[in-house]
Amino acid sequence: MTAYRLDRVEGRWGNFVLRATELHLQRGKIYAVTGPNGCGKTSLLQVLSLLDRPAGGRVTCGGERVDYDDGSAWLRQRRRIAYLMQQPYLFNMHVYDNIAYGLRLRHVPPAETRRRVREVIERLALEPFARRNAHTLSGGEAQRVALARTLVLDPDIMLLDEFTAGVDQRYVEMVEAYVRELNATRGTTVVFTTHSSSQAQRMSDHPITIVDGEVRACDEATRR
Amino acid sequence: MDYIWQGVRDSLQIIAGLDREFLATVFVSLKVSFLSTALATVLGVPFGMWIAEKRSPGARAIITVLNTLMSLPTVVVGLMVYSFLSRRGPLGEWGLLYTQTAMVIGQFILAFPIIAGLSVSSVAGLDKRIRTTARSLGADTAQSFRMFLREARYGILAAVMAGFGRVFAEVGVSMMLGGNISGYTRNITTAMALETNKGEFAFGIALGLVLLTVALVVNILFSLFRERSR
Amino acid sequence: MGNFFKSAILCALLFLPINGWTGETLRLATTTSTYETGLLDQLLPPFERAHNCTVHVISVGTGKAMQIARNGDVDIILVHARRAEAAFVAEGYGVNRRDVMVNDFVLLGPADDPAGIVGLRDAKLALRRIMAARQTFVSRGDDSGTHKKERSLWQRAELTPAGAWYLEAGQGMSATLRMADEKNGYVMVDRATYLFHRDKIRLKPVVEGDADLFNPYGIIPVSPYKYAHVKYELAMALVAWMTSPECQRMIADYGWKGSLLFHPSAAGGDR
Repeated sequence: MTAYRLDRVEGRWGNFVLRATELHLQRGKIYAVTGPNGCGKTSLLQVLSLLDRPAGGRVTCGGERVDYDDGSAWLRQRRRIAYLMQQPYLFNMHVYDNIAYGLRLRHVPPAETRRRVREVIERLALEPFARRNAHTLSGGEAQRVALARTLVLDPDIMLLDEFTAGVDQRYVEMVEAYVRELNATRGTTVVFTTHSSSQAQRMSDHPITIVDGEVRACDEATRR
Repeated sequence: MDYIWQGVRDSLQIIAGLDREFLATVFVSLKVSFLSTALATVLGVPFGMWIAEKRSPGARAIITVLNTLMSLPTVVVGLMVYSFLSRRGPLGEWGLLYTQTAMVIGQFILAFPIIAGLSVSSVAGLDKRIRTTARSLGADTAQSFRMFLREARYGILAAVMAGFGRVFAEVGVSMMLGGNISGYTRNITTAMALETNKGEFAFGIALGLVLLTVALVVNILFSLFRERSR
Repeated sequence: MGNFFKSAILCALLFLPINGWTGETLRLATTTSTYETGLLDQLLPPFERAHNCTVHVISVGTGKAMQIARNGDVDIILVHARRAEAAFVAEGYGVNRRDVMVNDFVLLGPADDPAGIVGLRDAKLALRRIMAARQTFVSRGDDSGTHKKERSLWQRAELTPAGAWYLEAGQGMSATLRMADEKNGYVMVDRATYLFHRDKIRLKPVVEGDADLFNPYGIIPVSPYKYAHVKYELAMALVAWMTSPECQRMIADYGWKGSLLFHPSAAGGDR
């Protein structure tokens, strides 16, 4: 069961080149992408989110080859993925509407939308500012709302770019626990980037490293 | 001061009495200005957004032109359109001079640079991450664009209001292209010019009060709209 | 975005009446004086009813009215500037000019009459004294019929008015009169406009009744040979109505605060 297969994938961003000769990511696992600044962690997530089309190679997601030219198939695949971008932007509307946005795009019935949004608000302790406009929040609060907006989607795959950046220390554990719980109970595949090796170890048994633009997953077999 | 108070008192009577000519004048003003503003919005907002995305020197030149045209004197527009619409002008066959359509055309030309130009600045001031964020949450191209529009709504609404404010209060274009025909092209401002000439201050003040009220109502609606999202 | 839809529908509804105008329309360019006195509001409705049409009145100065007509932007004009009218017809822009009515001009001035002309029956002499005393005189300065009339009076008095005392308003009759009143100067005004404003101004009539001050109005349809699109038939119908005994009687009877304003003159027939 694979979540992703990347074969001879090559992505170019200006002078920067990211290569994934053979990358297999399995369903239901948590992968931690580590490496120094500018090594291409965010670029990798951009490719995995299917938003950036690589210059060459083949991307398979959920057992299905990604066809970037088939708009509806591509959109369907994208909607199984939830992607928290680095330094996320919150829309100029209420916290509630920000969180519900992705659900509404997926035509989730209103009653269920309400239930799921309330649940994630509770789980991430967002009640104190749930009724405010998102643009009035502090950096840490905004980061948690952006995270809630991603987690509420109950996706097959979750891509989290620096998901605890700026989050107040007392909430980091709560957030991590919730991500792990979703992985355990819903079988969600998680790929996250981090600067913190301790967070990588806490969260994941499956590190992904990027060396000189080459992406490598160290699976259990090689680790043991 | 008595003289002014008398005018104000008489004007309130005119408003309360719903004088037919008075209502017709107000209606013409609202109708022509709504139409011209709507037209300028439909064309000016997308144009402004499109030009705001461009980084070429040509686009920058267009923005400069738009900003200059924002303060175009109304009589210049009036004269220009007049010369086109007159029977001797290139579009004379259409017979549009001294019609409401001519007023709409003239007011459209006044409103377009304002609405397009202010749309440019409202869009340019928006966060660059809006569309990618929407896409990262599963939006398709149209949905991400709709979110972009939504984020730009206050700036665009302010642009539309500024455009409406200009055409609703202008007199040059309406006078030159409409001809101040009673019950047809006489609007609030041309009527005020006429009534002041005639020394009928009460009627003029009554119309001025309507002008102020409309401006007030539009502004209140705008701030209510803003409040709602807080 | 639902609001945008609503406003679009509202706009569509607003558009309907533009084309929903019933009957034909006839465009009449006329002077501010005939219009602002309310005379046309009396004379036109019976015509509109009889011919199921709407007359759009564009009230401007005589000069502007004739210019608009020269451009073919109106169907008929009602103006007062005999010589200019003759030229208009001679150039082929107008046909079938008819006299309609006459009113007269009045020279108004400050109550204390600093130029010392009150009671004179000679307008030319009065102008000479105003100029000699360098008293404020407000001219229309807008190439209107009244302005042409005033200039021809100066000309016939062999004077060239210029200087700080001679103000050119560049506006309609009423606006010019009000300006003269504010400046407390002399002004030449048609009787109708004067009576209309009499209670609101301080100026008093100083010279009137001179034949030089008579002011004949003519009605001229725009020539269909010059502009094929003009509504010549309807314009001729308006000429017929304005010169009809019934309408002429209405003109004679039209008064303002007890004073008659116009004298019908259509009996003169074609010129």
